[in-house]
Amino acid sequence: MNTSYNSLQRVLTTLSHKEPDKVPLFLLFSHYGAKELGIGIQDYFSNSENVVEAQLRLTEKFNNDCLFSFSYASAELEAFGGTTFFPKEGSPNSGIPVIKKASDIENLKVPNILETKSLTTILETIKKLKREAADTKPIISVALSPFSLPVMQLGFDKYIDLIYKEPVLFDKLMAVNQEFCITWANAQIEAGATAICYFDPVSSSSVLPRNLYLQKGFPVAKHTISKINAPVATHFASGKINGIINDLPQTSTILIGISSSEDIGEMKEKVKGQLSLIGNLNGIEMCRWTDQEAENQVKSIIKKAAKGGGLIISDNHGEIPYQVPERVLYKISETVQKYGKYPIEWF
Amino acid sequence: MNNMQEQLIVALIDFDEEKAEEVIKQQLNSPNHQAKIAQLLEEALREIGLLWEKGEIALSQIYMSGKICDRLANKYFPSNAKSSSPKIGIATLNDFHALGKKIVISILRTTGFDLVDYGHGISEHELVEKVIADKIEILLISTLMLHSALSIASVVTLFKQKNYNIKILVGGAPFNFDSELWKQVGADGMGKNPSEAIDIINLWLKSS
Repeated sequence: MNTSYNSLQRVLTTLSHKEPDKVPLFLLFSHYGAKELGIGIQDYFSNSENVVEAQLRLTEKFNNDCLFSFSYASAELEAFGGTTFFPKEGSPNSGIPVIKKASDIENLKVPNILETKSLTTILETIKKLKREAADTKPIISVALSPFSLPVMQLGFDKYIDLIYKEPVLFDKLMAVNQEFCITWANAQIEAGATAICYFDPVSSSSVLPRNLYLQKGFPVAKHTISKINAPVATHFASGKINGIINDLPQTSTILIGISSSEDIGEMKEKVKGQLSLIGNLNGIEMCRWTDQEAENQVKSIIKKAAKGGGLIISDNHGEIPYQVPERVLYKISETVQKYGKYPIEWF
Repeated sequence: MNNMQEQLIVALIDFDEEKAEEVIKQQLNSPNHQAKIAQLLEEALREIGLLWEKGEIALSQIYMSGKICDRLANKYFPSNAKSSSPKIGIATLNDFHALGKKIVISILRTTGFDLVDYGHGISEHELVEKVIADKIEILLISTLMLHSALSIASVVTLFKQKNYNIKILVGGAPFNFDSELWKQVGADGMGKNPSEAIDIINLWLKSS
């Protein structure tokens, strides 16, 4: 059936494993908005008006099916006293880790989100987007998994050491991070977010073996997601999930990010009717794609995973890099409009 | 692969340091045991690198394996640096994600290469100045973020401006996601895993 859908209806239909009018497209613009407005990345994120304007412009330009309120991952680290490094043309990155010794974890307190400017700016952004979107487009917000936030809190290597060797400190850190994550996710929902993207790269099979995921990341996800008052998508930031995909439905997530390193058709077969998929365009290669390559990549995803709904086309990392030319984004969008119309009968 | 190698690999990826050391100890009474232990560890790490590249083990397992091997190598042959080892430096540019660098350091040291570690979060200019001052011949740069990978192009340009002859070997997630990126930034090579990095270094040494 090919009735007229707005973006929200399109997304909700596909998430219920049915075919809407066409495959939804999520181009996840975060720092790319600064490029759209022609301003510096730090300036861009300092004011919610900038983010709202860029989101509306980019969504219109590329027929995007969502508004994305995410700024940068280390905004959450700032709540814990951390800093952010803003490159001229790239994703803001976390500064020096804030947890340097065991006693820092023992004394760690849940920070107040309302005392962190980068987080209150995101809440303002969501409220304004909610007014503009008028329930026609989903507003996707992000909360870092309590299990993945420590990569920035401690540094990646120190955190892996903690996971393997310090169960008591690990549990203490998770308790603080879980309370923070649940509060932060629900504050965004209260501000108007439609869904939360639970960003959890450490749980991916690229980073941890399944047995360790089941002991550590899985129970954290299960508990945290159950306390979030909205639908949750789980994203692994390009990490593979082949080893854990069958465990993911038990976390109550409804949508999972697929890496470009994995076959989205095979992934769909494994969780058909249980989970929807988002992905899996290669965000790094995208920076140098020709128009033909962009078209081929989008068509390949549609061919492998669009049938029966349950698919949103997006990049595989959860963020469009600054270096991706607009030409490529136009081509991706055009290909989705042309080849993503249901019923899909072109192959 | 013989039984001892298999046992060592299983112990390493299971993070069973005690078992890994037991396997190593079986070699202690054999003639030329230091060389044999070095070979055993090197081959185990090579296999683990390949398993990681094939997606059969996770990053945390290769990291912990490298740490165990580094400790065992230090314990059983504390001065195993190759006599012909070139001057090698390693850094993570503009980024505090140093996991990849630590993995490479552990594995290269275990296999007998000595490295100067320039740390993480270092800028392009600072790195180039230090590398030239230390007369480094091969520079390894590990990255996680795309902007860090792209900033390697500035490092290459700075070396050229200073007429400094050096080989640059890069690695990390952005390069694994785009097999052409290392050429775009002007590097001389890219290692998909630490074992491949060692192969490239050995190749450069043979041809120099």
